[in-house]
This record gives sequence, C-alpha cells and structure tokens, in this order.
Amino acid sequence: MSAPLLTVQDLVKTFALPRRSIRGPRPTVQAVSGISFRLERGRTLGLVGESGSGKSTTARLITGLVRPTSGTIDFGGVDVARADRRQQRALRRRMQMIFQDPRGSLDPRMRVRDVIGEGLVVHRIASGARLRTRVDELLEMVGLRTGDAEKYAHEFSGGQAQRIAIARALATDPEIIVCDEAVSALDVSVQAQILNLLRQLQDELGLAYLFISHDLNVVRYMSDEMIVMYLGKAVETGPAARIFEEPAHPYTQALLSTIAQDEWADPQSATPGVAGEIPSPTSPPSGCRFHTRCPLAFDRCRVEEPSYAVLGEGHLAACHLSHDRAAIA
Amino acid sequence: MIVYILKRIGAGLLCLVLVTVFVFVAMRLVPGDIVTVQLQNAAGVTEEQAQALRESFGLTEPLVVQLWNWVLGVLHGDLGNSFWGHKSVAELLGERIPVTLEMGAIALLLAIVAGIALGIVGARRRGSWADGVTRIGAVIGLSVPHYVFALLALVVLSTAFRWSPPLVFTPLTEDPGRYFQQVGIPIVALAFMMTAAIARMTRSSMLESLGAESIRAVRARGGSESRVLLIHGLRNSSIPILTLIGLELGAVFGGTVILEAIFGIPGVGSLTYEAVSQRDYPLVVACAMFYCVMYVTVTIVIDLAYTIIDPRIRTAGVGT
Amino acid sequence: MTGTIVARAMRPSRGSALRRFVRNEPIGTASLVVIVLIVLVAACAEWIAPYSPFEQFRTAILEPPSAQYLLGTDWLGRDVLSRIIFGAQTSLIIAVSTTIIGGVLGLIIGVISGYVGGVVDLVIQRIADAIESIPPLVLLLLIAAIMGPSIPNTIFALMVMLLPGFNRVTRGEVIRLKQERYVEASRSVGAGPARIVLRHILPNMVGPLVTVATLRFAGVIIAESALSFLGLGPAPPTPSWGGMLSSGVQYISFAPWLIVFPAIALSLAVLAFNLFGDSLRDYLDPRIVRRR
Repeated sequence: MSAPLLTVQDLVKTFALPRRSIRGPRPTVQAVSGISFRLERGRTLGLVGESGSGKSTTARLITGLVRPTSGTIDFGGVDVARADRRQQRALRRRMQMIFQDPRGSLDPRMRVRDVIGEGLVVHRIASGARLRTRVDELLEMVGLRTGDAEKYAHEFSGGQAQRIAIARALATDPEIIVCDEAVSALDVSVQAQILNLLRQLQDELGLAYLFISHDLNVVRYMSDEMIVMYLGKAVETGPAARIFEEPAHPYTQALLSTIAQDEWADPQSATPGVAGEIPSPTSPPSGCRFHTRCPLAFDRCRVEEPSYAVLGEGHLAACHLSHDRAAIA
Repeated sequence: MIVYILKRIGAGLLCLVLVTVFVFVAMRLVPGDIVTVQLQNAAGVTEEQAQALRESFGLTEPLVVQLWNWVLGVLHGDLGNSFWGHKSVAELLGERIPVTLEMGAIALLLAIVAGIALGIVGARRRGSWADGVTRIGAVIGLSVPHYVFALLALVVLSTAFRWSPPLVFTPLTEDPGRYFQQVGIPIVALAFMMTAAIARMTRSSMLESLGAESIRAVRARGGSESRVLLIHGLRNSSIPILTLIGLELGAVFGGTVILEAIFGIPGVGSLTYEAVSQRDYPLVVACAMFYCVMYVTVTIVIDLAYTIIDPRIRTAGVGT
Repeated sequence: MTGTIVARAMRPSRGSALRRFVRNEPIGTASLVVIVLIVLVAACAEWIAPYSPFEQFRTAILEPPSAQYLLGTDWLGRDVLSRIIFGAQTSLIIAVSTTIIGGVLGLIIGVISGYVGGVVDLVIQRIADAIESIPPLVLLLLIAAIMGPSIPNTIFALMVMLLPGFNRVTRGEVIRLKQERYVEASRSVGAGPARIVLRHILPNMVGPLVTVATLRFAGVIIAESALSFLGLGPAPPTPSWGGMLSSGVQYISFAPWLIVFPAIALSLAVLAFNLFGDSLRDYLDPRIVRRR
C-alpha cells in the first residue's frame, strides 16, 4: 500500500522530424522534457495542459507504445522503458488505455464481443464459454446489455462506444488505466455519466487512473493529484484541491481564470486567459519556457530555467516567483 | 525544388540500373542463346565453331565480367555492337529513335487536341446527340486495345476500299503523303485511347468548373460564355489531363511495339521486338533502357508542369 | 471514419448489398450481366461450342459465316465460333489466375513493406518503381521471350506486370491503417504484429484491393492478347483471341471475319470489365452521394 504503483523519473522523449534540406542536422522536437511523478494504487493523477504540451506523448510512453529517449518508468519493479518483449506483454496486461475518439478506437469490422475479448484472447486468459461469460460480465459492469455483444461497434453512440472501450480496458484486470482525453469528444451530459462510471469502477476495483485532459473542470472532478504541463515540462504538481485553490504558477493561474469565466458566461469579460499561442516545440523559448506569454515575467525568467519550489504538502511549482514565496512562507 | 528534381533523377538512374541488370541476367539464363539462333539454319557447324562464335561475342566470360565490360562501355558512350551484323547498337538506336518519337509526338498532339475539343463539345452541348456519341465513343475507345483498333481499321479499309498501307517506310520530311498513308493508322490507333480518356476527363472537369462560384462571378460581370469556358475550364482540367497522359504513357509505349511490327515502321518498337526474338542482348538492353529513360523523363516533365500550373503543389512538396 | 463508412457499405448480408448495387449502378449491373455470361460461356465451353476448336474440316477452308459455321472457318478449316468460345476460356483462366496469384503475392509484399517499413520498405519500393517504369508490353516481351510461350509462363509474365500496382495499393492501405486509432488500441491491449495484421489490417483492406483487382482485370486480358498476338502467349494450337488475330492478318482482305469476330469478342469482354470496374469503384467510394 505504501509503495507507489508507478514511478516515473526524468522522462524525456525526442522525435526526429523529416529533413527539410540536405545539409545540416535533422530537426528534432522534444515532446517530453524530463517529467517525474508517482502514481499510487487506487488514486487518480490528473495531467493537464494545452495541445502540444506533451501529455498524450507521456501517456504513450507510460503504456510502452512509444520508447522514451531517456528516463525510467518503474512499474512494479520492472522498467517499462527497457522491458523486453515478454515483459512488455505482461505489463500490457496490467496497464490499459482509453482513447479520445470512442468509435475510432474500436475496429469497425469487429463485433463488440471480439473487441472486448481481444485482451483475453491475446493474453490467453479465457476462451470459449468462459470468454463469453466474462464479456457479458464486463458489459454489465459498464452499464450495457449483454445483447449488445453481437452488434458492431459503429452501431453505438459515442457514450456507449466509450463504455465498450472501458469494458475492453477492464478485461485483463489491470491495475492502471490511462485515460487520454477519454471524455473530450463526448457531449457534456454524456461526459458526466462516463466520469461517474469511471469513479464507480475505481471504488469497486481499486484502479489507479492517469487522467489526461485539457478540460480543467473534468480534471478537478476526477483527480486526487495533478500535474500541469507546458511545452513538455511539468510546471506545477501537487494535490489537485490545493492547486485549484491556490495556483502558484502563472500558467496555472491563467488556465484557471478561464474556467472562472465560464461560470458567468460572459464572452466579453476582461481577462483573456492565456495570451498568445504556444511556441513551436522545435525551438522552445530560452530560460523559463513560459516567459513569452507570462504576464509576470522578468529578466531572470528569460535566462534561467526555474527549479521546483516546494510550497508544502507535496505542492511544487517551477517558477522563480514561487521560490521567493516559498522563502517567505 | 532542386532537391526534388535530383531525387527524381536519382530514382530514375536507379531504375535504369535495375532494369539493365535484370535484362542482362535474364537474357543469359535462357537456354539457347544468340549463337543457336544465328546458326539455326547452318548445317554441319561443329561445336568448336559455335564456341568460337560465342567467344567472339564475349559470351563465355563469367556473367559479372560481361556486365562490367558493358558498363564500362556505356560510360564511354559505347553501347556495344549488335550480335547481328555487328552494327553498333548506338547507331541502330539512333536511326530508329526519331521515327518512334515523331510518331509518338504526333499521336500525343492529336490526342490532346481532339480530346480537349471533344470534351468541350460534350460539356457545352450536354445531353445532345453529339455528347452522347462522344461519351459512347470514349467508353469504347478505352476498351479497344491499340492494335485491335488498327487491325479493325485495316479490315474496313481493305474490304471496303480495297486499300492497304504501303510497307516501305518514307520519312515525313520526304513525302508527307506516303508517310501518313503508312503511319496514319498506327498514329490514330495510339491516339484513340488517349483521346477517349482526355475527352472524358475534360468534359467532366469542364462541367465541374461550369458550376463553380468563380465562373458564375465572371459571367455576372459580363464575360462571354466561350471565353469563360475556355480559360477557366481549361486551366482546371490541365492537371488531371497531365496525370492522364502520365498514366497512359506506358500503354502508348507498349502500343508502339506492336503497331510498328504490324505496319513495318522502322522505329524502336519493332527493333525491340526483333531484338528480343533474336536474343540480341546488347540491343535488347539498349531498347529497354531507351524506354526507361523516356518514361522517367516524361514523368519528371509532367511533375514539373504540375508545379508550374499550380503553385500550391510546389509548396506542398510533390511526391515523397 | 472512412473505415466506418466502408464497413457500412460492405456489411454482411449479401442480398441487400447486391440489390443496392443494382439500383444505383445500371451500367455496372449491365456489364456484370455480360461478365457473368462470358464466364458461363467459358466455363461451359465444352457443351456450348458446336465443334471442337482443334477439329479441322478440310473441305471447308476459309469459309465465310454460314448456317453451318456461324462465324466462318479459318485456313485450317476450324470453326471460328468454337475457337472464340474456347479462346474465352483460355483468356479467362489466364486472367483469373494472374489476378489471384498476383493479388495474393502483392498483398503479402505490400503488407511486409508497409508494416515493417524502414530499409525493407525502401528496397521493395525502389524495385517496384523500376519495374513500373518499363512499359508493360516491353516488360512482358522480355519475360515471355526469355521463358518461351506457354500458359504458365504467360501467367508469370503478367503477374510481374501486375505486382507493382497491387503492392502500391496494399502498402498504401497498410500504412493508412497502421495509423488508425483502433490499431493503436489493439497494441495497447497487448496484441502482437501478427494478430494486428491478420485481424485488423487485412479485413479492412479488402474493399480497395478488390476494386483494384477488378480495374486491372481488363488490362490483363488486353496484355495477354497482345502477348498471344506476338506469338509469346499460349502456344498454338491452343485457341486465344490474340493468336487468332495475329494469324488472321495475312487473310485480312479476303477473310476479314477471321479478325473481326475475335476483335469484337475481345473488345466486348474488355469493355464489360472496364465498365464494371468503374462502377464498382464508384459504388464503394464513400465520397460520392447516392440514393440508399
């Protein structure tokens, strides 16, 4: 219970881009630049950021779909990053993923039964009658009818398709489920249903979630702990409740100001949220990566990358201003 | 841009190399080589004499050595000598290339002009009998192979008019009349398929542009109908037409082989056919190379034409 | 999303799919009927043809069409109609074998090329490009001349001609499908490459592959006839349309039926396959709006 389920240390992923010219080195983009975190059993870690922040890449690094350039991913004593084929397969059993596009993630030519049962077949957990029973069980667990097993994936609505995806993820009795924007493509009303389903399953089965989203409201609802990412780096981490109450990093503050706006639905309101556009990942700004859009930036920010300031109770923020605050506190 | 051209040329060269090696090796795997063919009718030839003949052609050397010698020769501009009559291959090719190119160029021109014209007619008088005839003709044209068309034409001409084309070749410059008498049918046969394809394409893309917003705007401003059609419609169809030409090329080249053989036209096509049946290796390789070069060149030209006509393609990066 | 639409178009129940096709594609249906007819004629050649294609009637040489010999006889006194019917058999057997074998091979190579990628892909693609830049007929000439005239050799030569095209389509599809979300989902569940290819990629590729095969079919028939015409196809006395055409050339002015009828048969077959292929392609194209 005390040892964390998943420990990630200094994870880095660099992609090489296709050449633009014959001469010179190949351009690269560093999607993830040194992220570290821990995921505890039965808890939800939220990962928040704009598109391009590296959160989806992080998800794929964790599940082993992409190999990291450097860093370690410790899952139950095995380093996912350096696992061989056999180990990877075993790990896949214990860690599953749910994707953003519910219908896209289901093979249109397969029946629901086969989609859900794929994990059971691949890992040779069950077959024949036992497989059918298990699939029926899973369908009920996610709130669908056993009759749906014979249908095709595209016959379902978005919300139902996502339930199928969840059933598929549960099939192998995983310990961690990575939810990559799992509700972003759904209607708001359906979102609530799916989120509640996820929480219910977490309580029943003791699952740990890595919950990735750009939608702060959703993250607030789901997460126990949370990481805010910007351009491949974690700019603020800590207990979700605390971060929402007292955001320390200017980026987090700006993001949160946009939710506050929605509450009184006035589009002409003053603060425009985060100004400007996210810089190109191929050439990140010097010093603190956020300085180009930060309303509080000063000279030091352009030159020196801030280290993590400890703000108490596991709350960390990568900002020079936070260091001053921490020093005072 | 330059990078792109270089890449394409590189691909073309590689292609040439592969083709050459393939032809080279394949032809020598054949049981019964040039010597056997040459000596077919000479009775009482001893084995030693046959071997001596082989040696004189360099056939007794190991394969790799033969290949190497040949490559060296090419680099010096020497494509070897034909096994028949010992004429230089380069010379033979040189004589024949202009004939085939001429024929092909005329056919291409004919196809483009006729195809576009018919396509325009079809688009303007949509639904009329002229359109119907053109469309049916197009469909038929796409299905009747070149040589079948030529043969049918011969049938009609010989039975209905008791006329058949001359079999001795006279160049275009000497006597256009006789030239076209002999080469006319093959040219039309070659052009027929392409005309059909181009006409169909022109018609449909004209119809598309006729409905487009920009055309309506021009009409509203008072531009004359035919001007509108011609300029805008043509510009839009030029790209698909170019694509079509590129696609049909292969068939056209193939067509020249048979058609030249049937009609006795001394071009590269008939040369290829003769060379293959006589197992004349250097000649076969050279002919294959000719076609490759032609094909690659035309493809590159077409790609370049794309980028000129539609600058968007240039920036998007043509082909990868 | 396209996968979903194609799946809808190709969903199980054969009956309704056929009915929809008939309703939407009149020309395609007509050509399908012709194709079925041709296939039937070719399959039942032994029973339909009035005479054997090899039997020579020495008393009826070069006779024009008559009641006894519906399409006339050739210079050896053989019935032209029977030869055309059996010629259909030859052409179809060759075309079908070529398409199937070539299709399967092209599929395998395309899958390997597309899924494995990297150097393997590069090499295969370069070779395919090289083969494609030789005009088809020249390529056929080379191969067939090397190997000699016979049916298996003709099939081999035609197959080499077809392979690059099939390879390109399958490779393109494999690459496209590799990026699909459900393939990634399958991987994350733990499926290995073999299972992904067999279960997810192949079934989703069937549509485009069938379309390409149908479109190329006509070309195969034409190519085979060209080869026979040049004397490099099936060896005589096996009847084939191309062969009939080439031997008929010398009698062109006084026995034109030797050319006209095989030419019509050939053109009709090619026309039917072309039209069918076109309408099949249109029918399976998710972008074209149609009545359901």
